[in-house]
Amino acid sequence: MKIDPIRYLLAVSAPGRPVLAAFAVLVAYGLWLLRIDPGDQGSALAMLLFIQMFAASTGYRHAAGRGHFDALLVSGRSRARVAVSHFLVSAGPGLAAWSILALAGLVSPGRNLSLRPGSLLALLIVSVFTWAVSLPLPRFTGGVLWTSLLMALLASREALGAYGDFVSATPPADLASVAKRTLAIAVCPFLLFARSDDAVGPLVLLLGLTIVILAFGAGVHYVSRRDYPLVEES
Amino acid sequence: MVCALEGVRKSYGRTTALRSIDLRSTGPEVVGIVGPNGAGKTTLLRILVALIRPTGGSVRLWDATPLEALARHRVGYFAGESTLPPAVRARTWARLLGVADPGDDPRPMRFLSRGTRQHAGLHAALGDDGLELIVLDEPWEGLDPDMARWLTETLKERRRRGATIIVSSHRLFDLAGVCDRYGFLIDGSLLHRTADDVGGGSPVTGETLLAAFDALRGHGG
Repeated sequence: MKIDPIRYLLAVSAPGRPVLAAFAVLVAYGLWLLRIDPGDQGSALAMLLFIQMFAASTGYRHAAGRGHFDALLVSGRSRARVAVSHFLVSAGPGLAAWSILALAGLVSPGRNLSLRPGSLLALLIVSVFTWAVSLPLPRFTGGVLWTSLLMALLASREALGAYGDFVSATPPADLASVAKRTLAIAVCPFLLFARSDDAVGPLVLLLGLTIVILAFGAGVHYVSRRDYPLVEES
Repeated sequence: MVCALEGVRKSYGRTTALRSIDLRSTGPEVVGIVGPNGAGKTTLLRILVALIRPTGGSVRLWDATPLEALARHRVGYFAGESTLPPAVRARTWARLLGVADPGDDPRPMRFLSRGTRQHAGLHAALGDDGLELIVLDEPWEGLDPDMARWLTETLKERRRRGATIIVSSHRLFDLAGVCDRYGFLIDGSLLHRTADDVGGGSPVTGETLLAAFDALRGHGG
């Protein structure tokens, strides 16, 4: 019996109803913003990214150690397909909410922030990083860790200085600046809303995308190559 | 050859779970795995279905690696009710696993009794009539007498239809009624005995199986 991984994971491991409700509220808020001020999606998209940090952190090892994925893993589906399906189920609600806002932006007269390459990269960074980081951890841990990191950075003068540089700087001219700026958007993808794609620089966007692909590959590798011993319930 | 394990070892850091396991089956038959707690029965069964990779030795199912074999053959595996996702409804679980008659129990697994969960998990795992290999870890745990009888009869029926069944259990009385041969997992190695060896020509009973187990590990009866 070949089990459909998406159907299986939707039943076993999908983000919970509170997360789905939060996305529904954010979509409604984003549509309302577009109605009163076409072109202003920024706050809705930023909040959507914040919720996505937690939604995509579904975790994997915890449930796998209890045998919740046994039936799927023994059904003959490739482990890589299971991993990709797990990502789609984890990040799917956030990606769907973003898509609705993007479609609404297309028919709205203002600029469509949600389809800018920088905004899409921010969505991918948040979705893939929190999913991959959470694989060996319990649900929501990726979101909690990232939020903690951002709070710590907010309290740091150096980080605020770096943010000021990022917002005011022209496109990076040397490799050190490219690396520094890529690190900045990887740690805080919300920065991508603060600058136009031209100002961020195509090389930074490309390097950011490369890091996303590497993180996704690491997640797929984790699911594909790990052992699945049962963990005794305490 | 349905399965062929040769010199299979599994270590977790400095702890050796399995020292050297040899197990071959040309099927169809029922092989019972008997061993004390912590002997490595669950690890052995999970190696068979590619959920754990051995540290050493060779595992082949139908002359392929376990992962390749899972993609080509119909294999059923169930490791007990605790492995069922607690939030999933019993009928949803049965549908996911393609059971023809998924029942109509709308309750999530966590609201079912232990025995009912075990039965729901076994019903789903054994739901495919064409299973070629069935691997069950402590399947009689938590079952009431009627459910236990259903399981025993189902396993016999599956064997008649050509399945090879590898089953571990502490419930020697249930195991005795269904197995063609036994593997005693003692000190990380698997010692094989046929039903004739254990029963001395008579049908194997729980007592004779326990006596054989005690004799192999050097315990007085």
